[in-house]
Amino acid sequence: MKKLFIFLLTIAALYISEPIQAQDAKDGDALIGVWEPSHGKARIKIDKIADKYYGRIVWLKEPKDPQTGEPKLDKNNPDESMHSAPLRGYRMLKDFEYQGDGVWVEGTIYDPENGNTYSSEITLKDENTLDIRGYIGMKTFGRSDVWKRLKLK
Amino acid sequence: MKISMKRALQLTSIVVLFFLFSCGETEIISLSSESIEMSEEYPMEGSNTVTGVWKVDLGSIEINEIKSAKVTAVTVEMLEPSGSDVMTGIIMQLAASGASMQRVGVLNPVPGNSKSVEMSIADEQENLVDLLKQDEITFVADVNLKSEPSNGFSIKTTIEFELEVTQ
Repeated sequence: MKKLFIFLLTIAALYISEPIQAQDAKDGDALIGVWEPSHGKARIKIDKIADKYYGRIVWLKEPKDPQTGEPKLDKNNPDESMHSAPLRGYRMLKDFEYQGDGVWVEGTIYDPENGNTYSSEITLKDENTLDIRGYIGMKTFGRSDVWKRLKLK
Repeated sequence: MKISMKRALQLTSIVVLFFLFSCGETEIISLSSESIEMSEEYPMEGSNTVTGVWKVDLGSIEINEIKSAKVTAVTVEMLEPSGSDVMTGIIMQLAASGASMQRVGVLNPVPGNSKSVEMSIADEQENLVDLLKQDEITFVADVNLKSEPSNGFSIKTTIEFELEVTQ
């Protein structure tokens, strides 16, 4: 009787946990889409690769370097071997994991204007607005920006 | 003064001996991934991403024996279209669910009219051992296209690693 009870409990737990995991993955995918930072100079497409979320620049308001007339490059990257990488297509958001409750953590954000990479956390305010925070060390000492979804849901 | 010099020499010898014993002997081994096909059925002009999964196969090497790893070559073979002219730039990254994404190669501009191209390798490479610990590594190519190819876009990527392995 006891064994049967444990068996039934295990089956019930499996039935409950599986839909929760599937729901988590679905909620995490709310981040997927094309977003525009508040400065409006770029558009970033966020997609999912190997269970994590990544964002790359797909559009630039000023795609060409005014000094050279050529497409902008990642010339501020601390890794000199990457100075020839084009900014259009550049992955500036990396490795975000969905924590639940509309929050993605453990990611990084790269600022091509100064070549710095910051720890980052994303919070979905509503389905078309997100708050993205970049920081070094402690979350308290950082800066946030509001991004808007380009194609409204 | 003499005693302290002697002691200093003894201590230095002990440190050097400890270092030599703790290092053990290492060997450099080359490892090549399979050729991974990466394709996009409906590519667009501009920025696109193609991915492919490599089921990591280290052969006879034990992951715990790998002290360090670096990518030494990234080769991209054109499948559809057959020539590299369609691309203006390409960046190659490695990603896995249990490790951070690592950018390993870049090519911009892309030499025209080639069937296969070799990418420039990133100087700064971190986390490659962590990536190799995973069962699967996703090759992620961010490609800028000059125009929209009519029959899709498809490439094959091979990555070569240099592993420092303890014997």
